[in-house]
Amino acid sequence: MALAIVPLSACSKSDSDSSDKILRISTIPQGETGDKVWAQAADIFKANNPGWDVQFVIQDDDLYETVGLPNQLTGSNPPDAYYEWAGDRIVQRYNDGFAAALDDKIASSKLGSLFDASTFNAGKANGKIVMLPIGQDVTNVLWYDKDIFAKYGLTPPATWEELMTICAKLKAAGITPFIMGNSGLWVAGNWFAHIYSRIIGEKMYDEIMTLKKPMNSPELVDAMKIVVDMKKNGYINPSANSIADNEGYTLFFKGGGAMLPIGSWIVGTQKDEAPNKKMDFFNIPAIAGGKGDQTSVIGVTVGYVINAKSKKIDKMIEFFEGFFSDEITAAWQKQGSNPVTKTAMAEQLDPLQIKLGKLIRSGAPIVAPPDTGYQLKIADALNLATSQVLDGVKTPQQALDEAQAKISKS
Amino acid sequence: MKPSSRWTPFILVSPALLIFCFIVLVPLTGTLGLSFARWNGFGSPSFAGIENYHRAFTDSVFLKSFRNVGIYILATLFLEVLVGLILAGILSSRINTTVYRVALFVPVMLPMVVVSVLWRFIYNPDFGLINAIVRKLGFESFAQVWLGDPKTALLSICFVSGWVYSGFYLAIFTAGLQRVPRDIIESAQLDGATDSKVFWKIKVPMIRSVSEVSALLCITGGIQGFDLFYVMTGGGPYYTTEVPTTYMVRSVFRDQEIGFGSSLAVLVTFLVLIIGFVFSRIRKSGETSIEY
Repeated sequence: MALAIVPLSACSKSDSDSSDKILRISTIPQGETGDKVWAQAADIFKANNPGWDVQFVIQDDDLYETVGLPNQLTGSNPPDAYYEWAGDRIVQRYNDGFAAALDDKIASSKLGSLFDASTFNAGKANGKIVMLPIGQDVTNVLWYDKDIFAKYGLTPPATWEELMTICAKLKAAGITPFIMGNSGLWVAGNWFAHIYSRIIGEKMYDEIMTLKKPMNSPELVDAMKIVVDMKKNGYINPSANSIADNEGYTLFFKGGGAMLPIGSWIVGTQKDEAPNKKMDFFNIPAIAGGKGDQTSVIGVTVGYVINAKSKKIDKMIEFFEGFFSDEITAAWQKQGSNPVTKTAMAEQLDPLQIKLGKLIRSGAPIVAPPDTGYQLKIADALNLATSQVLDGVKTPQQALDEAQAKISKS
Repeated sequence: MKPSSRWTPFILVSPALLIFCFIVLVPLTGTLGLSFARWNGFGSPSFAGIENYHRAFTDSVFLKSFRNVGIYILATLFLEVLVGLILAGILSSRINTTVYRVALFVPVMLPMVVVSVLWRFIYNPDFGLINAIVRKLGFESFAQVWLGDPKTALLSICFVSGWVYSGFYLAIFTAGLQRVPRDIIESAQLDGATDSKVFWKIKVPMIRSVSEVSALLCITGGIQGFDLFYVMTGGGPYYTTEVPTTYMVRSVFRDQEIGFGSSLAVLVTFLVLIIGFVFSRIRKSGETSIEY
C-alpha cells in the first residue's frame, strides 16, 4: 500500500485531449454565491460554444494549495486553467511548463481592454504574463466585532501599544481578544509574518524567506518575542492551534472573541454564514521602533493560470473573456469579491471591499505572505516555529533553530 | 488431466500475473527506483545515490513518527484487540446479544474520513461534545484542547481508533469463540469453573491463533495507519501525531520531495514485511497441539 502511492500519482502524466469539448478549471471554494457566479460564467461560454461544457474541480484551500494542485497538474486529467497565487508559485509553474505565456493572447483578445495593463504586472513570471488576475487578496488584517467594540467604547488602534491596551480591556471583561483557527498553521503564520516584517523590515524578511539570511537570525528571534507576549497575556483563544481556519471564523461569528486576524476572503464567508454580523477591520497598527514600513500591507494577487500543456488555450481565453466581462464582474462584486478589471476598479459595491481595495492600492509596500509568496517548505518552517512559540512549547530561539536545521537538511 | 498445450497454464495465469505486475510490481519497482533519485514531480529525476536513505535515518521527524506509531500500536493493542476480546467474551456468554453486536460493529462500517470528521467535532475545544459535557458537569478544568495539546492529541486519536476497531476484533473473536466446543465448556462448568475462568483459562487459549492474527493485523495496520491522523490532526501539533505514512505523504505531496518520500515508503514497507516475517516465525515456533 505504502509503496503504491508515489508512482501511481506521480507518473500518470498526459496532456489534455484536444478532442474532448470540456474545459476543466481547478479552483478553491468561492462560497455558495460564488458557485452561482461560476455557473453564470460557464453558461455564457456554453451559449457561445454549443456542445462545449465547463467543469470545475473545487478543492479545499489548504488541500489545493499544497497537495491538490500539483497532483491535478500531473494527473491524467490535468486542468486547462487553475487558480494560483502570484509570486514564487507562478514562477515555479512557468518553469515546470504548467503555465502558458499569455502576452500575445491578451493583446489579441478582449482581455487586453478589460484590464489596466499594470494590473498584469503581479502575474508575471520571468517577464511573461502567466496569470489573469481575479483579485487582490489582503492576506491579513484585524477584523473586529463592531458590537463588542462599541459596547466597551473601543476604537481601532493607531499603535501597537493601543492595540495591547484594547486587548487588556477585553481580557479583563472576559472576552478573548483574538480568535484564530490555526491548525493549518498559515493563519498565525501570515499574521505574524506581517508583524515580523514590520519589526525587522521588509528587506530582511524577504532575505530570510529566500534563505539569503538564516531563519534563526537574531533579529527574527527578537521579533518573535511579540508572540511570547501574546501567549503570556492569553490574548489568543487557547484552542487556536487545534481548530481549522473555518472553525475559527465560526467561533468569531458566534461572538467567541472580539478580533479575527484573517484575509479579505472573510467578506464572502460572512455574507454566506453570518450576514447579520457587524464587522470592520484595521491594518496592523504601527509598531514603535520597527524597521519596516509601518503602513505596509500583507497581500497577494490571485488569479487564473492557463495550463501550457492544454490543447484548448484559445477556448480558455474565450471563456475568460466572458468570465471577466462586466456582467460577471458585477456578480463577483455582489458576492463580496474584489475583482480588478477596469470596471470593477471604477465601481466597487461592497463598502468593506472598497476599503480593502483602498488599503492594498494605497501605495504602501506589499509584503508577500509566507505560504503563497515563498517556497512552501520555508513557509512551513516559519509557520511551525510561530505556532510552537504561540503554544509555549518552544522559545523563539529554539523554534527558529529547529526551523533553520530543518531547512538546511532538505 | 494434462493440458493440451504446454502454454495453457501460462495463458491461464497470465491475466492474474498481468494485474499483479501492474498494481504491485510496477509501483513497487518504480518507488524503489525513485527512492534513489532527487525529483520534485516535474521535469526529470536525477540520481541521488543513498542520500535519501541517509536523510531518512537522520531525520528527527521521521524517527519520531516511529515512536508515535509505536505508542499508537501499543495503545490500540489494548483498546482494539483486548477490548474486542473482552466484549466478545461477554457477548458470547449471553443470549440475545445481536443488537449489541451490531451496535458495536457499526463504527467499522463507517468510512474512516467520516469517523475522523465526526470526532473532530466531538473533540472541538470550543463547541465540542466532550468539553460541553465536562463544563456542564462543572469540571471546567478538565476541558482540554484535545487535538491541539501535544500531551493529549495522540491518545485522543488512539481512543477513536479503539472506538472503531474494537467492533472489528469483536467480530473476529466472536467467530473464534463460536468454534470452541460446547462440551469442553460444559465439563469445566460441571467442575465448578466460573464464567471468568472458563473465558481466560479455556476459551482464550483455544483461540490463540485468532488472537495472534488479530495482533498481527493490529500491528501492521497500525504502521499503515493514515486517514485518522491525516484528517484529525494532520500530524500536528508539532509532529506529536506524525506517523510514517503522514510524513511520507507530506514529503511527497506537500514538500514535493518524491525521492525522499519514496525512500520513506520503501523503509515502511520493509518494516511491515519484517514484522510479518518475524511474527510468522514466532507463531510457528510456538505452535501448540491444542485442536478443536
